[in-house]
Amino acid sequence: VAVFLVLLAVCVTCLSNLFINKWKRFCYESVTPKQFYELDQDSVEVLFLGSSQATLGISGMKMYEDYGISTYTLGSPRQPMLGSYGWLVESTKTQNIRTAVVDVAALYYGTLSESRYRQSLDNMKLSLNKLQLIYEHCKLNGNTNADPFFSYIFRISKYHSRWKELTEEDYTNDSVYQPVFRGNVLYSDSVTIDLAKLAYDNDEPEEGVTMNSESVQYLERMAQFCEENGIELLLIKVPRYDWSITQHEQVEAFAEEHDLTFLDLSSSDTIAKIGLDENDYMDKKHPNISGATKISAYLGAYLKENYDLTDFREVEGYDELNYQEYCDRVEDSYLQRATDVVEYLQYLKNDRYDILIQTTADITGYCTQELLDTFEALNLKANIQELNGQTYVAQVNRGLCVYEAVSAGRQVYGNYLSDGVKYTLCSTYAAASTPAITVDFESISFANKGINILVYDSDTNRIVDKSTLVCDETSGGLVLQKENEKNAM
Amino acid sequence: MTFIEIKFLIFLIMTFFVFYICPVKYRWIVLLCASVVFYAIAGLKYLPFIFVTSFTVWLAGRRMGRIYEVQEEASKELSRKEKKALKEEAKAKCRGTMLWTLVLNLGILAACKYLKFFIGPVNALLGAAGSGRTLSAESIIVPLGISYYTFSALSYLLDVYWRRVEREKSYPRFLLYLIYFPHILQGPIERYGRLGERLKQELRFDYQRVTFGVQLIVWGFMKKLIIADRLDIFITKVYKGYEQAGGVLFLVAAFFDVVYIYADFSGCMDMARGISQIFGVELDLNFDHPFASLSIAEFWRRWHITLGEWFRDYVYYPVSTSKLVKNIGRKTRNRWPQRLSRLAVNTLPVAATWIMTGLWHGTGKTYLAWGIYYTFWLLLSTTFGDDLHQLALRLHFNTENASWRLFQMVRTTLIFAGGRLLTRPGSLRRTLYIVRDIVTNLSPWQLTDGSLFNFGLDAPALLVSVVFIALLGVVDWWQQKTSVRVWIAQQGIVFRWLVYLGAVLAILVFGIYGPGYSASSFVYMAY
Repeated sequence: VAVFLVLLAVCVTCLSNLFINKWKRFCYESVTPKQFYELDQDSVEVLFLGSSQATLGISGMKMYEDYGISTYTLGSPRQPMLGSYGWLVESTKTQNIRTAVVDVAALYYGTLSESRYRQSLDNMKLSLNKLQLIYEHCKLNGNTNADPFFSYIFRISKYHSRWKELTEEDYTNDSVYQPVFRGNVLYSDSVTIDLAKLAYDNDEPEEGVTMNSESVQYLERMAQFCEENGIELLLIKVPRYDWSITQHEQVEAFAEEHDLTFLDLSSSDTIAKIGLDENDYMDKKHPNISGATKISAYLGAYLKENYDLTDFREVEGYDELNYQEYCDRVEDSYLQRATDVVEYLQYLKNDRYDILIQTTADITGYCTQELLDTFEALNLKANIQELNGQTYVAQVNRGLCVYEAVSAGRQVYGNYLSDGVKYTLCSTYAAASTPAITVDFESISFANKGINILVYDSDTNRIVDKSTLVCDETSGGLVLQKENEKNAM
Repeated sequence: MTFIEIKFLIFLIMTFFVFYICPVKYRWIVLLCASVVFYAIAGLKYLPFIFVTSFTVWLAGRRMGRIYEVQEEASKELSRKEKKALKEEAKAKCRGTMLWTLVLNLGILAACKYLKFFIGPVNALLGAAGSGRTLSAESIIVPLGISYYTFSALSYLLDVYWRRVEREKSYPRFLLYLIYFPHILQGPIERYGRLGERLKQELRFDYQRVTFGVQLIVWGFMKKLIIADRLDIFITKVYKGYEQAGGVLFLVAAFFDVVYIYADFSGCMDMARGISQIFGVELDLNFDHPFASLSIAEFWRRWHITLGEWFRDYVYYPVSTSKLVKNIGRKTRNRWPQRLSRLAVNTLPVAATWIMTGLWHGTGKTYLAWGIYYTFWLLLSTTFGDDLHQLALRLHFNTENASWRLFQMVRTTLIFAGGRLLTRPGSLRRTLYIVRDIVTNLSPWQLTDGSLFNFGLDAPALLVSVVFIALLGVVDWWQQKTSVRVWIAQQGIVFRWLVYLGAVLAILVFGIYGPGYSASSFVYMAY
């Protein structure tokens, strides 16, 4: 009987892991805790807690790069303060946390949906701390029935109805992998924001703004926990559009009352000091990689100056985690964010990339010297200045030209990228039913106007960038048109 | 607390361990305490009702038993005639006790279940009497399982009165018979002569019986959570949104409803019997492959067997042997044609039994219509059944082969489905609309144009339903020939474990349960 029960428990655990919602859009909350639990003992000194703003806006790698500070961000989308409190307690089991930094957005959340609690707590290891948090959450929500409580422990009872929406990703877990850099997720997309709206001091005071009592209660418990465990607690606010002066004043009063430090990064002065510009956000709330880098540089300097922190760059045997991958992603972001053709062509010259090129229009009259230089740097031999109505396809693998062809008519070519992934190129000037480029049997959408360039990173099996160099009749040259979707890097 | 809640599972595991840790002679006390706790968790306010019923019936039984004992003692040395006179005298003494107790408990049952329909007149009466208090439907308490335990208690009362069973001297023992937690909420309606005796036996641990009990529980869960609760979503949506559905969808819903009620109720019975088995107590079988019945009378001998037996023993037989019915028989036997005379004699007992059965299931016109519906079919069957058989023979139908039996089974199932159509849609008006639509608007393309998937179940969910309905059919068919549990037990360990693991994991994956889904209460719970 005992053996059977063990076998049953193993099967149920496997099924739970299969069925658990991977939260496709923000899957970092399942990756973040997993990586956190894998960290070396006592290798993190600064813990960031909060919502997606903390996750996207704080770059631990940048702070390590500049100041040697070892940080980790434990955040999830609209993470309730209860979740932040729980993760603070959880972190002290394996890490010697000296400073806990909390983004205070959660103080102004309304009633949160159950999924926010799930996203925050589902991936926490089962412990008394977790049981206590679940119990308190159920009690706060008036769930006296035992079933909701147990559904947090036996997660299959919550997620089993996903059986009909399971995809290959649920089984392989590959594509749900999202690179997380010490709890930070990098986004390269940007929207143009109004910096004046980002700063709270341009707002008028509002009436009727109050803090969420549950959040206040848990922030107070965090303060108490920190005091009992010799941890410094710092409150911060990553700038966002809807942060108001009233909220700033209320949090400031709260901090004063509880003898805490509140560092609001949202004042006009601080925004100027950080050096944020109008392209540093991916939407009105979340900094992109550029914004996160700037904010983290500022915050790193503040932490280094005000807290007694170790410089881990000098610590032998310190695990940098995926620092090199972070550097690559930063490098990729330059290519992705480039809007100028010259700048773009510069970043294209990278030995890490596999590049697929295909024409959908005659570019003979629009070729610039930079384009010709870039083609030369990529070891492409064809003279694209003399295409004169012919089609062109090419593949460059890690700086070496693998295939290049010029033809009078439609060309279709297929081969493999460095990591063995199959691709096809179809070059034609007429509208064709065949996709211009396919990678791993998936068609890649492109404008039907000029030279389509797809940049692929074979190390991480992902498309880095999709751009089209479009013939601009007004200027007589080429302009850059981006096809990237809004995805995390 | 229902069988499908986590807290019940915890309660069951705790009770199991305490039960088997205790010495054998005290184990019935563990069951009694667990049953009281189980009932109290459902609602402390319900406890007084069951205590009143159990105590009054036990007291009445005790008094009647004593009268009969005294009478038997006194009649030892009497002549046969004197014995008979003394017996009549004792029965007369008991009749009052029996009637008072019967009226009191039926009164409680009626007040709890039917008073809400008479709130207007009751409030008018209260007003006329000068009382400032009024009654509201919400203020009426309907104790869980009141119909079940009241019927069980009354069967004991009548059995003692008719001297079919000995009185129970111990009140706690009698209370355990009524409140025994595996059957209190949904039955089966056990007779004291059977369950009472089983509960008095030495309840020892038997590994195979416990494993068989667990298997029965798992099978019950499969029926309830995978089939019944999934089909319920579709049926409810089709009947509630009946104006958006069409004829063929009503047919699908009617078919699903037949499967639903069977899977739900028999699944629940399997759980109840399985739970009871792990404590060493067998409960009566409540379903015996009803869809294999060749007639509607046979169907009701195989469906909710304990309820059918109750009405047969305490309504049908007493009414059919009453003076009134005997007089009708005497007066019509030689004057009317045989068939009409038979109809006249059968009408009153059948109508009384089935209208009362209908009202036991629920209140309102739909259940009254349901009772009349079955009265019609049963009278038709008893009056003209032989004629129909003769007609089939004259038309040279072979009534001995499998296809004829299949025809009879399908016919019986269709009659049952018709009965469900009277009650499930919620009102007779809706039923009429649905029947009219089935007849006039049978548009089969609704099965292929995607309409089928607009009522809560998408294609994968429907596929799962169909697969498990097929599994249910195969297992039921197999069970008629042999015990599936015994067959599984005879197989090798790898196969057995695969079956057990498969069953549990199928429930965990395909079952309708968990937060976010309001698991529908067992259909029979409110009765």
